[in-house]
Amino acid sequence: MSSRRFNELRGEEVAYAVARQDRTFLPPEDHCPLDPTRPGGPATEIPFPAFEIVVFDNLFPSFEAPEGAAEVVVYTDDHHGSFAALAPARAQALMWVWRQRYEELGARPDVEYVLIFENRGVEVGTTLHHPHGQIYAFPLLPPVAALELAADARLGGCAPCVLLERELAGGERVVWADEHVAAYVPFAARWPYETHVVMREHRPSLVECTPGELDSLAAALQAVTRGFDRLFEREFPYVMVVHQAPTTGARAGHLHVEFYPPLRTATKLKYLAGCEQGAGTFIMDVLPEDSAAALAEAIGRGG
Amino acid sequence: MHTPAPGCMHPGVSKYGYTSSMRSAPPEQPPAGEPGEDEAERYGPLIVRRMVKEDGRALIRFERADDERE
Repeated sequence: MSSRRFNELRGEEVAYAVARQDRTFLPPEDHCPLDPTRPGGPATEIPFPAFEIVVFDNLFPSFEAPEGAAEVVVYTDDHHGSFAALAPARAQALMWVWRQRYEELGARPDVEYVLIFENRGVEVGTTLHHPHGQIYAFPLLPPVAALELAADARLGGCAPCVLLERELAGGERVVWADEHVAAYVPFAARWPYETHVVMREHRPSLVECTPGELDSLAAALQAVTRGFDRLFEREFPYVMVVHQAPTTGARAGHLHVEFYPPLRTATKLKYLAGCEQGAGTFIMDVLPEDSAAALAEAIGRGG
Repeated sequence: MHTPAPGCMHPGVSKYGYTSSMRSAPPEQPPAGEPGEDEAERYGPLIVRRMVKEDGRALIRFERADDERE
C-alpha cells in the first residue's frame, strides 16, 4: 500500500510505494509481461494472443484506491514497436483511450488530477521495453499542475494560450503545425530538445476535443517522436506528459503535451545536478532556437 | 502456469518480480464475449471490453470499431 508524507521544507507531498522496489526490471524479451499470452508461451499480464490497446491496473502501483489509481497502457502487442512507429490509426485510437481513462478516472471522487505519461528509454528510467505508457490518478493536485494554474493567474488568462500566440507570432521555435495543433521548443526550455505540443483552440482536456483535433494531436505527437529518432539516428529517450485540467474544481487548464528528452547530443545526457537540484535553476548548453531548428529539420526529413 | 525465469529466487517468484498468482493464465481467463467479461461498450470509435484478472485487478481492452489490422 502506498502512502504519502508532506515535505514541509519543499511544501510538497512525497509518495512512498515501497512494493515498487521489487518491480519487474528490464526482463529479457521472452519474459516481457506486456506481450500477449501466446499459446504454449508463458502467461503475461495480458491473457490474450493478440490485442490492439490494453489498459490494466499496475501491479506495482504508486497510487491505488481509495486514494487514486495507477494504470499501464500498452500501445500494441508488438514488443518491438514504439509510439512513433504505430500506424496512424492506432495512434489516433490511443488518443481516445487516453480520453476515456481521463474521463472515467477523473469522475472518481478520490481523484483530483489525471496524469498520462510515457517514459521511453532506460535513460529516463523505463523498466520495460515493450511500447507502453502509464496513468497516475492523483488524490491531490500535484505541484506542476498547481504551477500551471499559477501561471494562468500571472499571465491574466490561459497561460498556454498566451504562450502559443507568442510562439506562433515569432515562429522560430515552431517545429510542426497544422490547423488544430502546433509544436514548438519553448522560449525558456529546460531540456535541450524540450518540445510542447499544444492545441490551438482552448481545450481544457481531451474530452473537449473534436475527433479531428484528436487526429491532429496524434499526428503531431508522431511527427515529433519520429523527428526525435531521426535527430541523432538513434532511439531517442524522452518523458512525454499529457497536461490537462484538474478533474475537480474549475475546468482550468489547456490540453498540451510536453516532452522532456534528456539527450543534449547523440551520446551525452543532460543531468539534473547541483544547480538544478540544489537551486532549482536549469543550466542549458544549447539555445532553444538552435535545437528547434535541428528538430524541425529532422521532422521535415520525414516528409 | 507461470514458467520460472532463469535465476528464480524461490518457487513461483521470478527474478523479474512476477509470481504465478500475479500472472493470469489464459486457460483460466474467459475469452472475449464469455462470462467474466462485461458486455462491450462503445466509446467514440472504440469498442471497450472490461474484465477482472484473477488477482482482482481490472483490465480493459480497446479495439477500433472499424478494425483494420495493420
